[in-house]
Amino acid sequence: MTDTGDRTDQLGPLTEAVDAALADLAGRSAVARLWDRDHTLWSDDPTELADRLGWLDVLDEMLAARAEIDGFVDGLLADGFTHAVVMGMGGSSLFPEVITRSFPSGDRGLQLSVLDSTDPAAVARVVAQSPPERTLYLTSSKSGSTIETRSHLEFFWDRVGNPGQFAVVTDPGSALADLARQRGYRHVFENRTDIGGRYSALSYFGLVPAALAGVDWAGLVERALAVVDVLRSPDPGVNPGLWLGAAMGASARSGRDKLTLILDPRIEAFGLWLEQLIAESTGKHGTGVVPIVDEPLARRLFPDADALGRQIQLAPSGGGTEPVAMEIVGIAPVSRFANAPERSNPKNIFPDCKSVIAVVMRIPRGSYRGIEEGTHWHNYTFYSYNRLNTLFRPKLTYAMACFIEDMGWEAIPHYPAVCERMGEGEPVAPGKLPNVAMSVRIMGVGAGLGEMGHAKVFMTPEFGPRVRLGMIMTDAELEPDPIIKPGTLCNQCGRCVIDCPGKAIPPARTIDKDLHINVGGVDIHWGDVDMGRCTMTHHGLNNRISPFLKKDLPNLEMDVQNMNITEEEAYRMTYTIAQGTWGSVYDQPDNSIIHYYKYVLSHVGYFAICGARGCICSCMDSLEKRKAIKNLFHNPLYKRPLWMLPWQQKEKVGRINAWREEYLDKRDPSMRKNEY
Amino acid sequence: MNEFKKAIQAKAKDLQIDLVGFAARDRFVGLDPQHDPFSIFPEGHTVILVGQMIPRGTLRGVEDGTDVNSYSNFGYSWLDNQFVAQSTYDLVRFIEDAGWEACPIFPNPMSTTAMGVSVAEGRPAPNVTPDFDYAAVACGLGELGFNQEILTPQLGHRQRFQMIITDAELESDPLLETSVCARCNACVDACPLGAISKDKTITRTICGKTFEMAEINFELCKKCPNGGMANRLHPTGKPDRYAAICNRTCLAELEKRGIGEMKRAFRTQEPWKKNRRGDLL
Repeated sequence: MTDTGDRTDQLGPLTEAVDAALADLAGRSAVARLWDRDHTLWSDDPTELADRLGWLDVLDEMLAARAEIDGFVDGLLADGFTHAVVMGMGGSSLFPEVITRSFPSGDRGLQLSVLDSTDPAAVARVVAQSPPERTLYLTSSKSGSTIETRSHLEFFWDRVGNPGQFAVVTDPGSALADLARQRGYRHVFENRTDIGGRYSALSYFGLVPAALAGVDWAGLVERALAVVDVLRSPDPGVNPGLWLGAAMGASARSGRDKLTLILDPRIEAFGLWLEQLIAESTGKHGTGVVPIVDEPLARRLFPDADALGRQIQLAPSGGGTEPVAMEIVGIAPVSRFANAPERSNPKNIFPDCKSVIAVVMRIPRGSYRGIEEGTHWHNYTFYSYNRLNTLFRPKLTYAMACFIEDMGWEAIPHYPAVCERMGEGEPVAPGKLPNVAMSVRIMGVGAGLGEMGHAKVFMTPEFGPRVRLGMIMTDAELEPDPIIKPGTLCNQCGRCVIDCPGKAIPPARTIDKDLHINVGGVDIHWGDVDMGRCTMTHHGLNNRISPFLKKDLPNLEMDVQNMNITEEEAYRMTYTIAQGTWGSVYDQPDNSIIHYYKYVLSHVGYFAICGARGCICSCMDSLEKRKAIKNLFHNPLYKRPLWMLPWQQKEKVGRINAWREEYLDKRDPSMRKNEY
Repeated sequence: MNEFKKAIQAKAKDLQIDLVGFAARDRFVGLDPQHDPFSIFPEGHTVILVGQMIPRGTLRGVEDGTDVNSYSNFGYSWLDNQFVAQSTYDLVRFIEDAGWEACPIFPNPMSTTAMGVSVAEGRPAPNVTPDFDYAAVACGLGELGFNQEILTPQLGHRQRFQMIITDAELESDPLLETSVCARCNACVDACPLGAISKDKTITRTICGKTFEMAEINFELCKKCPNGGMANRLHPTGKPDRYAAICNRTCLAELEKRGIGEMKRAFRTQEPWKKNRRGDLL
C-alpha cells in the first residue's frame, strides 16, 4: 500500500477498513474508469450515470467561453448595472452562495444576491437590496421548470418587465430557454445537458454568477485544471480525492455515517455546497453519509483548522439528528485550576489532563411551576433533579466522552459530586489522594460557561441559574473559552437573599465578606451561604415551605430561619426523617413519617422541597426582567405573590398525646373512655 | 400558533414519540381540581399528551409464561422512568426555546394526591395528580374501553403517557370519533379471577363522550397471578394490568379488527391461566 502520510495515522481503528477500501478501488481500477465515464463502476444501468458525468471535462469548455461570459458582464457594467439577483434552487443557488460569501468582489463586480427561498421575508429582503432599474435578474434552472425559481422569475418580471434586465442559465431546449427567447431576454446561457445540478459549480451555473460578482472565475477554473492530473492518479498517496472517498465510504460502512465538516472561517460557506453534494450523492438505496456543517464541539476539538481535507472527522452514529446535543459546552485548560484544593483538582484524578470540558443542560422553567403554585412538587424532583443528573445529561456526557475517545484522546466523564461530603478513605500510595471530586460549578466558571452568583448558584448567559452541570477531563489540548467576567449576570440585586425561605443567604453587596478563589487569574467570589439552613429547607424540614411537613408533623415548630446547624447535621436529620418509619402510624399505610418524602424517595431517589425559591426562581425573575439571559419567555415567571406557610401553630398542643387522642376520638369516640 | 403546533408535532416525531395530542383548557372545565392539570399551571392554555409504545414483544414472555422481566423493564419502569421521560424533557426544551413555558408531568397514581396541606385558600392540596385517562380522551388520542383502560386506535392499550402543560395557545385535536372497544366482553371472559364484572357497570363522561365500563375489583387485580401486578409506585395506586390476561386478550381481539395489527398474530395458542390460589387451570 502506498504511504498516505499522516492522513492514515489519524484514522485509528478505521485504518484497516480504509486500506481495504483503497485496495478494492485499486482492484476495480476505479479512478481510471471514473475518468473514462464508465457507468458500470456504479451500476449496469446507465440511467442518470452516463449522462451525468459532463463535469469531468467541462473546464476547458468554460475557459473557451471566456469571451461570452466576460462580454456579458462588460455589457452590464457599461449599461450602469450595479446589482444582480440569482434565482435558483439547490445546485443552482448553493455555489453562487459560496461565491458571494467566500470571494472578495473585484473592482468590476455587481452586488450579488441569491434568492433560493419562497419565504415572503426572503423575497422582500432581496427586493429591498436591489434597485429595480439597475439590477440584472438571472434565472438558473437546469430543467427550466423548477416551480420556486419560475415563481421568482414571474414575480420580478411583473415588477420590472424589461427584457434587457433578464438572463437565464438552463439546458438547451428547456421551457425556460424558450420563454427567454420569446420575451427577448438579454442572454441565454445554455449549459451542457450531461451535468447534474449539484455538480454544475464549474459550469455556466456557477461561473456566470461568479463573473457577475467580479470574482476571477477564469483563475478559479485554471486552478481546478491544475489538479486534474493529480486527481487522475490511481495512487492514494498522490490523489487526495481517492483517499478521502475511501475514508468516507469505509467509515460509513463501519457505522460512522456522520461527517462533521470543519472549515476555515474564510471558506465556511463552502460547507453548504459540500453538504448537499455529499448528502444527495451518497444518500441512495438506504445508505449514505450525513454531513454536519458548523458543529461546535468538533470545531473546539480541532481548533487549528486551516485547510480543507485533513480536518474532516467522522462522528459516531448515535441514531439522532445530531451527534451530541448538549446545550452548552465550555473548555478550560487545566492550568486554570492550579489553585484548586488537592481533593478537587482534576490533576489528582488525571495527571495527564490538559483540558476540562464543562457541560450544561437546562432545568425547564415549567418544572418549577407546580411549586410556585404550591400544588405539585413531583415533577421538579423527577425531571429536573434526578433524571437530569442521572440520565439526561450523563447520557450526553457519555456520548461526548466516546466521541473524544474515538479521536484517540482519553476522556474522563465526572459526576457532579458534593465534594465537601466525599468520604475519607485510605490512600493507595503516597501522594495518591482518595475520593477526589471536582466542584462542577468551579469547573464551569473556569470553562467560561457562566459565573457564580451571590447565592452560590451557577449562572449561564443562556439560562441563568436554571442549569445542571457535568464535566469531562481529557488529555487533548483544546482551544479554551474565555472566563466570563464576574458580575456579568449577577448584579448583586439581593432578590435571592430576600426570598430564600431558609434565610440561608447572607446580605448582598458585601463582597469583602464573600468567599474568594482564584480561577485562571480571575477573582471569583460568592456569598457565604449557611448550608445548614439551606439543607434543612431544601430537604423539607422547613415548614414555611413544606406543605408535606406541615401535614404530617403539624405541631412541629422549627424556626429554620434562625437555626444554628451545620450542613452535615442537617443531612442527618432530613434523610432520617424522610426515610424513617414509626411502628404504627395511624393515618399512613406505609408507617412513614412524612408520607410524600418516603413516596418520592422510593420513586425518584431524591427529594427537593423548597424549589430553590430564592437562589434560582427569584434570581430568574430578576434576570428575565432585566433581559440579562437569552432564554426569555412571553409570560412572566411570577404570576402572583409568593405563598408562605406559618412556621408556628396558632394553638399550643400541651396534652399527653393530642394527636393520638384526636385520631381515636374521630374513629371511635368511646374508645378512650376512662383512659386517664 | 398552528404553525408552532405543527413544529411540535414534527419535533415529537423526531424524538420518536409515537402519539402526541393537544387539548385546550376549555376541555378540562369541571374536572376535580385535585386532578386538573391547570391546578398546577393556572395560566396554562394547552395540555400536550405524549405517548410511547409498549412493544408487543415485551408481552411475549408473559403470554408464553416464560419471562416477565422484559415487560416490567422495557414496557413498564424503564419506559416510564427513562424513555418517555427523556422524550418529554426534550420536547419541553423545544417548547421553551420558543419562549413558552412547558411544565412536564409524570403520571403519578391519582390516589397519591393531597399528601400535603393546601398552601393558600382555594388552592388544591399538593400534589395535584392530573387525570391521564381524562387527558387522553380530551387530547383526542383514545377512549376508555370496557376494561377501564385507555385504548388508542393505533396501539390499543400498549402505550405509556406523560404530559406537558404549556401557556402556548395551541388548537385542540378533534376528539376520537371511531370506537376502539367493540364491547366484545373478551376481557371479562378472560379473567379467571372474575375481577371484571359481567353485569355491573360504571359510566364516565369526558368532553361530552360517555363511556360505560365494567366494574372491576382492583383488589383482586393487585394479586393477579396472570400477568397483572400491583402499582409499582404506591400500594394504593391502580394496579398495572397491561400484561395481564385481560389486556393481552383485548390486544388479541383488537388485532382481529386490524387495531395494532402486526405481520403475525399475537396470540398463537390458548393462553395459560391461574386461579386465585395460583393453580394452573
